[in-house]
Amino acid sequence: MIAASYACPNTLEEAVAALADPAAMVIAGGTDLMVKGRTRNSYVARALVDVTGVNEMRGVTVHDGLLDIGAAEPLASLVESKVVRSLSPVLWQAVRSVGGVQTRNRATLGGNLANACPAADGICACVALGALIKVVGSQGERTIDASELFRPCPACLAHEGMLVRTCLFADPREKKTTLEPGELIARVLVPQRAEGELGSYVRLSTNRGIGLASVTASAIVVREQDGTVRLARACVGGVLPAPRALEGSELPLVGTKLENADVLRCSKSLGTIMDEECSRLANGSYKRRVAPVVLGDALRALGQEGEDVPGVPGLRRIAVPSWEEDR
Amino acid sequence: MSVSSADRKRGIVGRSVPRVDGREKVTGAAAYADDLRIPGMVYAGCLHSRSPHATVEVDASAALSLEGTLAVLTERDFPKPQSMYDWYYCTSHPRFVGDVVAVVAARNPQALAQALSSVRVTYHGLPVVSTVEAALAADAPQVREKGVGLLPDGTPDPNAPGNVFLDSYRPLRKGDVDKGFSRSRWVHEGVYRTGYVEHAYIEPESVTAIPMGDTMVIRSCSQQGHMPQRFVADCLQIPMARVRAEQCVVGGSFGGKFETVGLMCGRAALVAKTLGLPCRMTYSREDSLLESPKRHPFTTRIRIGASEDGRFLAYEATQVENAGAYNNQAPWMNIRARAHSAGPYDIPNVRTDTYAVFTNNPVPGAFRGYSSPQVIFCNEMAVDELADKMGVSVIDLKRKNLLRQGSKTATGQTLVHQTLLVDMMDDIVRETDYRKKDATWRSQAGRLRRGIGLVTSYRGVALGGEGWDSSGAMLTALPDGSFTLRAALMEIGQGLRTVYTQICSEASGIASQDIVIVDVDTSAIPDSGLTVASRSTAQGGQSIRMAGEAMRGMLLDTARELLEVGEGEKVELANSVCYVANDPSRSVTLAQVCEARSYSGKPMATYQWYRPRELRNDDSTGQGEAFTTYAYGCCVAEVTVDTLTGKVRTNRVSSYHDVGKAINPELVRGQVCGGILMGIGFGLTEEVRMDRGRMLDVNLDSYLVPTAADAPHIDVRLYECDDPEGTYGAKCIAEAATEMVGTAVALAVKHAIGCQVRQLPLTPQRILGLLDKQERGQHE
Amino acid sequence: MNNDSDSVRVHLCVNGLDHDVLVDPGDRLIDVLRDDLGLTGTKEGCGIGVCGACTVLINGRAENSCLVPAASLDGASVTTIEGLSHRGNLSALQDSFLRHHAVQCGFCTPGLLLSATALLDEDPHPTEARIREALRGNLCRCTGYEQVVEAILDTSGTAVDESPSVVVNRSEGGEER
Repeated sequence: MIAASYACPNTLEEAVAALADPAAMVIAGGTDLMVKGRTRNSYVARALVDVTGVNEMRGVTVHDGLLDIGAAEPLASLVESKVVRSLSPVLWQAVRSVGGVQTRNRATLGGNLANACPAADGICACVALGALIKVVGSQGERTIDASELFRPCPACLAHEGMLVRTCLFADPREKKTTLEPGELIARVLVPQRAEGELGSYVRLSTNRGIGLASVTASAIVVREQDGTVRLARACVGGVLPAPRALEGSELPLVGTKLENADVLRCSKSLGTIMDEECSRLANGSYKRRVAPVVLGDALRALGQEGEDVPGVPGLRRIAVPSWEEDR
Repeated sequence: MSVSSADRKRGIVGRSVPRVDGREKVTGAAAYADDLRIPGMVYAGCLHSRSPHATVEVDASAALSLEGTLAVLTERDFPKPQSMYDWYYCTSHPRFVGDVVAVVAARNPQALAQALSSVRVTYHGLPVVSTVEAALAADAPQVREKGVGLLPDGTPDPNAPGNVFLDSYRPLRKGDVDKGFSRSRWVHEGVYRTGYVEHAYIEPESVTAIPMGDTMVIRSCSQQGHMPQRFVADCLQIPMARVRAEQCVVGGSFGGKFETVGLMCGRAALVAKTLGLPCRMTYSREDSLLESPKRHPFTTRIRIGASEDGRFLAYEATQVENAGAYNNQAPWMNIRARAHSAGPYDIPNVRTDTYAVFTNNPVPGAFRGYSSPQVIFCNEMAVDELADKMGVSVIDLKRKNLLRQGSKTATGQTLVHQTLLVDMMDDIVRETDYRKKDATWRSQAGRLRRGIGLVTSYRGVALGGEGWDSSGAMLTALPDGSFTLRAALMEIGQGLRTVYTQICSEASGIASQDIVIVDVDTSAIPDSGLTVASRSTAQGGQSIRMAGEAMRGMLLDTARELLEVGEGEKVELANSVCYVANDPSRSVTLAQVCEARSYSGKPMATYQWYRPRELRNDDSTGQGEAFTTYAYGCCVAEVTVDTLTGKVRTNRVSSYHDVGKAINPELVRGQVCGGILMGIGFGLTEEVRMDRGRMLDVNLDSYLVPTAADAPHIDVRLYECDDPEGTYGAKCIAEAATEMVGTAVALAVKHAIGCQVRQLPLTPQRILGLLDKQERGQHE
Repeated sequence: MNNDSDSVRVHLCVNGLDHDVLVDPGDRLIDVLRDDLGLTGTKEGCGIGVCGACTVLINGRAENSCLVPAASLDGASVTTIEGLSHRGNLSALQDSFLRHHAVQCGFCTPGLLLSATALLDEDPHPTEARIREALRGNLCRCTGYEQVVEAILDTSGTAVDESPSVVVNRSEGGEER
């Protein structure tokens, strides 16, 4: 990989200052960027700003009902964090699903979001969870909803396999996110799991390799004492032009008892959305077929067909007989 | 040093001794081709065609203007652009996307990357023949001038132009097929397909050419120690004697590191010669996938007829392979594909035609099995569908038809040696509880469905009628009692050095730790043919054994002199000690023996050549003794299919193999386990997808090979038997280990979802397609 | 070397030895290890972080050295395959790989050994499922992972059958050993 320069600031102020250079570009773990820069000369003129040493972008704290995660914290440390596991089991499950051990030791949550790949595990979970993104630039800082971070990208949908290696966007900030020049994602604020909230994260891939999933789905619900759904939100990755939260009429679950018919209605609703928005989707007929299934699995995990994941309160999965038992 | 009675009794053959090259491999010391560092070395790379068929003009001026660029070679710089193996070193008329249009050299890898991206190529597109069907269409453009047409009876017409590769045509004619079908109560007919499969050895190709005086020295990852010598002499048009090829540690091959590596050797040698500097050429994974050979895709039409009571009476098949744009392998591979075309069954009437067809697609070559994974898929699926049609258990159907000792194969060869197939099938059916699972899982309704599939197979051991199964070995004694052993067959990860050490030690009595196997070097040992066909232990081992026995005789002669034994006294040699048989206290070490022989006028080395008995075959009918003997196998796979996503989990694979004799059982088990995962990939996920001649899968992110988490429970059972043909009774395993597995998995999927399976791999998309078709069928 | 770029001086501790290296901004760790430091035991299989052949330990954690910018590593400690054995003495895991025939062509072996080393450092007694999960990022085309998993289990103290191959000799009346 060839780049023009490489800076390793220690503070947010230094990082923001370095990003004032129009040629500057953020690198965190680099697990996407180093792949994209390998065979094409995408970064020859770019001044890379490595943010993994920025103190304000590290660490995990809890305040105001929020899990406050440094954007440059490696995914592995989130997986190992008891705080993350207990306060946001869905996020924990999603970051556990990223790549293999080697990738998680390097890759960061901020990078997973900023790379803005529609199939990224972290994006799906953050959007479903209603996470907030703390963005910092020379103009100061602002906090946005995770779903506001992304711009619709039809080109990504038409991109076979959504592979990093063949990604069309050397600098995703420019066309795929709402980040302004010079801005970076400093922290990710995830609402901590509410009392009674159940969540799930489901990922469909061809085999158990470490590649991107073809479809992901994440969902949370909060139910009344009698089982009636009070709040429901989901996100489906790898199929929509921009990741967004499915709720309200797009996820007609509130007021139901989360029975099979209710889940089917949600799957059907996703099908309708896909028919309207995903005409250019590569491998479209397959994804059109399985995305409602994957969303359905994420929702059914929260109902009667689901079971608690041992040791992770609030995280649910589908009780699947004989699928995983042999290994 | 003393000789325990245990040493004298217990041979080393049959023991799972650790690999002799294991230590260097676990410490990172093993030197692979790209690990060499030579001062002054330049770096070369290849520019592959962006078009599957075009004429090109190369403009190197921008690349040459860069400071680090040293040379840009195009077709006209090559003394002989087309290699002796049909493929091109470099061409201005690329016929597939792996063709090389320019070879670029630069000072360092960074400069090379810049130079490669600065070469401007103008493409003038030509018609692309992208499938076998298109190649056989009446108005198809001719991909190669040597292609021929087909006669109305489906056999090649040497006088008509077309795309059939005439040299690859192998007919098999046994009995009277028409009569067989006319007597058949049950007839099944179907067409079966397999795709392009990549070897995906973890080490991408790398070669280094080093000019040394008038000799070009080549160090490469070639699977064949001697082949780089031929390629380089061919490419540079110099005598082979001016080329010296040396083996490096090879990071996996599976049949794949042959043509492409040879071409790379030629290209790197031309750069080295042009610049007068050592030249390294290492491929990226993308280069490797683009250019390296693949498994031949098969399209096979099968018709099989059986009597009322289920005896196979007639078998007809047309096996058509995609040969890609060039091909030197199909003529040889098809000898095997023909011999096994009717499967492991005793069928009186067989008529099969096997040939390859040129297209503008990647060039297939040898790949673990050499047609057998494809042939087995088509054949076993057809037999399974016949059993469905008859409403009988496929086990019962197989039992009536499987080859037994005394049976005649499709080539008319009588099986004279022990033939364990039926016994092995009975064992595996019992051990896997096959019949119960088969019955229980036959009618499932839920989302997740389980399935079980069983494959039986027989495999001609080694080259057989494909060529001469000869080999040579040289064993040299050194004065201190250590020995060097040279063979021309290659360690490519399969464990050959270890097995050869064991065979040599067993035959000679030299302790295994006193034997050092030396890298293959064309200047030191003659060519013994290819490291292919799972032949290296069974047949290649014979010359090792002979060298060990010859050395043993030489050493004992000297020991008798040193021990001053009498006429009637017998001297033994074990664990590097010679001793008097009835008085082991009288002994000399091999160090003493060798010291005594050294400079005594006696030879210190022996070179032995093994030549197997000749096999006679009639190429016009495929009748004859196709192989000296056969290895038998049974495989059962159990899967779970998610019918809503099409995803398959392989839960368990049981693989039973008749290996004749396991020289090193744990090495054999390693081959079987690796073969199982490769077979699962062939069955479920592995296909290099093509789109109008362009390759969609060029790295391991989209070409999916199984991971540790995809592995099933594995049960391995090895059978030994009395078979005199191979070294110490050994048969073969490398290819047998993988050839059945993909089909067993596919049969299990078929069983789980109740759909006919006509194509591999069974990707989730394909499985959902099958279920859709089934549903539509039910609704109609 | 690219003239338009600013080189970066990086202090690295590799296998216990300190190095000061001058790298270009985008240089990959794997190239520094292989080309600058001559540590060629680290292998490149895919260049995009999916095969794991280039796995090394960075501050004790397994990472793909083909995706790590060397410039990001100032002050880091790196362990490569050459650092697992000490003065010719194999680590317990290396020895176990040897004894269990967990090695065939050997090209993926350094990466597998480093992934397994990191796993056992973190969890000395992993379950088989955990081992397989930890090895998902290391592709091996030869072994089918079976003997690799056995070697790791053995090192972690889990009993492994020393000779799992069942050999049936039909010539001698069906004896199993």
